[in-house]
Amino acid sequence: MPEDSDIVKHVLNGDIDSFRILVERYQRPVLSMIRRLIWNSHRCEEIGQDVFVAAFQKLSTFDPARSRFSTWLFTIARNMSINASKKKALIPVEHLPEILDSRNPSDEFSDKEFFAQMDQTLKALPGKLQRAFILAEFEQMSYEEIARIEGTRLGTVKSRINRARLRLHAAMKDIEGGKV
Amino acid sequence: MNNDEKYHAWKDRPCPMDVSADFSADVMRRIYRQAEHRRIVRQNWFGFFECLPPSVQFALLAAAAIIGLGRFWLLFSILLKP
Repeated sequence: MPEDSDIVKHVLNGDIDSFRILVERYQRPVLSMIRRLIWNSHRCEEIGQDVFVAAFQKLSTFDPARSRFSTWLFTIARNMSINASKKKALIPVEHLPEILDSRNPSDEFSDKEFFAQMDQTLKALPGKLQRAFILAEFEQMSYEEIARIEGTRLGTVKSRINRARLRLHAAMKDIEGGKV
Repeated sequence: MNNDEKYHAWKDRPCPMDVSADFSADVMRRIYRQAEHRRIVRQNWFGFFECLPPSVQFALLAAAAIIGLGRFWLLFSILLKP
């Protein structure tokens, strides 16, 4: 399987069709990340397309010595997701699907409610905390990668994730206690 | 489920991603369209101009303006004569 940086070289040398390999390789993680960051599945393909087109346009600025191609691409996806969220309120607000098993219906309902309330709490967090948490916990990215994507220091990322977790745990207690 | 289990169930929910079959084809179509547009644009003078960095564009415009206005030096010299 060709390395990302080799494909980039091919594309920059005029072999545009090689870019398709990068699109197919990263379409799923990029779309998943966008979907989580904008909380909307309806526009994620549209934004995803813009991300890849922007990546193609800026490809000459990609420096393999500074970062991996995936990190560079996720940074573009992160920026475009933030811009898309700012431009207009992305409606409808969606909750991610729940894992519900076949236990009794009242349990199922309370889980559903719990998930919805946790989603709301996460969504209400400041953008920086929210993104750090989503990238680490949902997208399973390393702290180093998140630091590069967010353009900040490793310690800052750790602190943001920790603060997000603390707030979520506090909210969880409130939900359980029936305060929410 | 206790709190911890619920938290993990919430956090570890799979996010179903149904990427449409045409996604990469659509992206490539847009990229080819742009590449073609760039190629056409570079073939004419304005296209060449557009490809230059903004600082060079401003410098060229300023030089063109000075040369252009310089043609009317006689008119200006009469008008501005004290």
